[in-house]
Amino acid sequence: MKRRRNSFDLSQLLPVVVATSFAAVLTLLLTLGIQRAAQLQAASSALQLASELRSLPQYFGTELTLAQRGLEARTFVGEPLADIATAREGFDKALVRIDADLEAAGLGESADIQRVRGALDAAWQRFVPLLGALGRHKGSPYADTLAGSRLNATGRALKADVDEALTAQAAANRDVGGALKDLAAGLQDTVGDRGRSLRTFLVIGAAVAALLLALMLYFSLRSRRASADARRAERQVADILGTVREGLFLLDRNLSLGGVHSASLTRILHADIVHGSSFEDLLRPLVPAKTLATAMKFVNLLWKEKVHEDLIDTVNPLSQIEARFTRAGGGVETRHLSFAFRRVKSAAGQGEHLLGIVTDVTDRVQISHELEQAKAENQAQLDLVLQLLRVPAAQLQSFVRDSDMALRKSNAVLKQPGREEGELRAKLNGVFREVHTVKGEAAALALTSIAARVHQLEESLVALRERASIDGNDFIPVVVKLDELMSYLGGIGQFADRLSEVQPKGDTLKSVIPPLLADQVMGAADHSLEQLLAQVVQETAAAHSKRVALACRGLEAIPASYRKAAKDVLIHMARNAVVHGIETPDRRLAASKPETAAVRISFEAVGNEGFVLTVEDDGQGLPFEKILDTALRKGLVTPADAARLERPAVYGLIFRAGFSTATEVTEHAGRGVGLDAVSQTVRGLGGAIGIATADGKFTRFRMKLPTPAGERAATHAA
Amino acid sequence: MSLQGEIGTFVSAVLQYFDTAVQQAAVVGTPYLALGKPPEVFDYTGMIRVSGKRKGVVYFTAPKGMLSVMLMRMQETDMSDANLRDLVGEVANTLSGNARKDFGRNFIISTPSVVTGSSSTIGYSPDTRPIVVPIDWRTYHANLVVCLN
Amino acid sequence: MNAVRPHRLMIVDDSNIMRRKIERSQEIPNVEIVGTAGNGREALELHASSRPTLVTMDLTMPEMDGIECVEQLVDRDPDIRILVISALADKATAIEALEKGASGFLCKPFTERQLNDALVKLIES
Repeated sequence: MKRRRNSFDLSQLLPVVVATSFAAVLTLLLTLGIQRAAQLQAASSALQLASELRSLPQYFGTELTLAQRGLEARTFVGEPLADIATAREGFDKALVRIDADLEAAGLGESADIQRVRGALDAAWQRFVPLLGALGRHKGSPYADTLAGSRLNATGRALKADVDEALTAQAAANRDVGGALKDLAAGLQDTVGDRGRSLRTFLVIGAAVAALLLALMLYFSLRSRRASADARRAERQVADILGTVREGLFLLDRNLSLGGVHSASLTRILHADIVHGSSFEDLLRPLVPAKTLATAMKFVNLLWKEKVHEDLIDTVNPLSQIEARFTRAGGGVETRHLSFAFRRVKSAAGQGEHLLGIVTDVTDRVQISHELEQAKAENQAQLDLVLQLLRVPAAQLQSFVRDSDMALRKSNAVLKQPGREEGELRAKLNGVFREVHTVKGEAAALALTSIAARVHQLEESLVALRERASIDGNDFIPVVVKLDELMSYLGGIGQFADRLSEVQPKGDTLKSVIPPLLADQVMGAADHSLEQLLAQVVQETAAAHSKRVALACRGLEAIPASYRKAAKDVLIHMARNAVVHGIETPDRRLAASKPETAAVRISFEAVGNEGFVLTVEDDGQGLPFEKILDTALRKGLVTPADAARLERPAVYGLIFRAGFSTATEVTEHAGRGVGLDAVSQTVRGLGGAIGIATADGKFTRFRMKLPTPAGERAATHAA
Repeated sequence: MSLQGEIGTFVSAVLQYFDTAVQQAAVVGTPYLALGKPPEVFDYTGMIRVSGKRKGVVYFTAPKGMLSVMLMRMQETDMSDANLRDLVGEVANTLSGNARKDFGRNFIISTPSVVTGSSSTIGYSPDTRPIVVPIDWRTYHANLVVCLN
Repeated sequence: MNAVRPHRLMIVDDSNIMRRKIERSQEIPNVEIVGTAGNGREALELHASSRPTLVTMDLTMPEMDGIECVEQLVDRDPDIRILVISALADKATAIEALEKGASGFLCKPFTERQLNDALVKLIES
């Protein structure tokens, strides 16, 4: 990543680096050019001075000659002498200026020039004292007498000096002139040289500037092309993001959403995507809290370099989630979403982003559900037929009739008016009771396929019961399932009717059905209740890995009008005893009880008062604390009530609708509706239930039933 | 889509109609099955026929009084038979519209038709179990009946 | 031809059948099985003596469970590559193992090919 980023930056930086170095070169060239130009100017000035000085020795000669002639003619010589002095000073000054110019022209160190300059100096120094001597003579050079003017002492001395200077003048003229000529020639060369180099610098500078211009032009074109490419690429990316059906998004290390995402994301998640907002917040409304926590852990795993992303696909908790969205027109829509995460890798390795991909897989899930359902239905049909064949047709017909009645009752409950929350809940409980009875009967006949179907309806009722608030809309699934169940039972009814036509009476499919049931069909009707209960107890015990022996007494004496009710009640109670009352064999052994538990069911007359139906088990007794806890948790009693309740009142709670102590709901018991239904049935007959129990020893339910009206009349008549 | 989802669509269509057109919400009662006898039909009934993946009828049936008050709330003063028919037809229209939107190509939804009189036994045969969804509005009572197989 | 075998694989699983299945099915070049362990404690002992670089790890085992074993193995050798192999009853547990330092997860039941692919990726990771 690092390396890549650097190379990327370098390519961006290149124009700047090139431009800067070109500018530096250009600046250097111009600086040198300016220097050369200054040197050239200085050299030219020196050359001019040198050229001007070349005429001076000649001038000295002329002036000296004038002075000599003047002295000889005894004329005034002050003028030539003053001119000489001025010119001498001028020469000295000019020399100083030449030196300065030479220095400025960079020739201070030049050996050739300095040699010539030294020669000039030497020649001049030889000559200049002679000129200087001319100035020493003060006063008039003449002594004016009557005989005319003649040279006085000063004049003679002056004359001598002038003569001497004039004599030296030729040599000086030669030497100084020659030196100046050499100097001028040297400077001429220098000027030419500096001029050429100045031209060279300017030419190079112009070339560099032109090159720079060309380069800048190239870079600007290239960058324009690059930004055009970038814009095109950007547009293409936008096109892709706008078109893909998957929701694509980026997450950074804080699991915040990136600024870019596909258009579908908003549609799939039914949410606005805000750059920088947290992924967790986005996910929160879609999944339960526990899944959310696991999901965040999972996504964080992807930052761990050690974890191979292909090897953790299977643990992705978001690989398929069920999300509920509120529909625009009301109602709730369930969609199946699938999230996948990939590390965004660059050429050099680990990236700084995760790519999230979310797909709406509802159609796929539904198709696979339907396939599974079809498969399961086929299997279920086969199972069902086998189960149905084991039950005698008459019994099956009676089961279908009873069940149909129960379902009609459920429907009647739904049909009742009542829209208030409380009324709806009462309806829920009413439907529950009826449906649970159907399930119980189906289970008793070992019609597990049917029981499972009914269980599904129960599940939807339970789901509703656990909702914080319910309205009529929520009952739609219930009524649809009820409809399905009625169709289903209708089909079974038809099957039973056909079966009854082909099954010879008495002699059933003895070879395929258990002897117990065969016996039941052939034996007396009351005898069959005992057998039925035995079967219920054995099947329930087997399902819970328990060992139970059932003993029944007096069941054949149950009056005809109580038989249906007694059957319903006893099936519930017997199953409850096995599931809740009886301990597992090892716990029984640990408590020094026989491994095989006993369940006793009896029916007896109590004088003329009526009857008592007793169901007793030697199990663990009713768990007082647990019942109270459960009742509190379910809101059946308030904490204040709980403190006041006596034991019998607490035991009575188990008959309340919605009570169940079993933590796991099974088809056999644990809905808490069984005892509720029992209580309803017994009270419906005008009876009452009493409970006796001892911890670790037994539980006994005594149901007192009045003598039925018809029966009483018959007794009186007799 | 499941039958459950389809019923959901119809129910939300009706509720939405009350919310938006009438501007006063209706309440859904507990749905039930019409067993043994045809479900109650009121004075005016707007109906759509469904064919394709499922076949049958869906209708909204309401008493005259209810429809009249609905019209009043919609600032309508003419309570003629034609207007009441129009209104119930409008409700059926939203049923058809929502169904077309939600159900996709597996369904063919007819244009709505209106039936008057309470003696009709629309789309009922003894071996169907129409699902009746009671719709309560103010003191009135109407039914949404879904009869699909 | 018999090249160096730098990857040393330890199989940790309480099921004999599963151990043998893994032993049989692995045929990736450069991987040598250095031993098998039936629980976490044995795995740690075996780690001390044979220094494996790769581990296949069951999660539910007697004595010391897979998660703790992963934690301890990673503690002893931060570079060790661990493939958790388990029936996927609980994704949260699998994720915990990965958080503790495992590198990947393979769901039981698996085919030979899936195992081989997973081991190749484990070496890559």
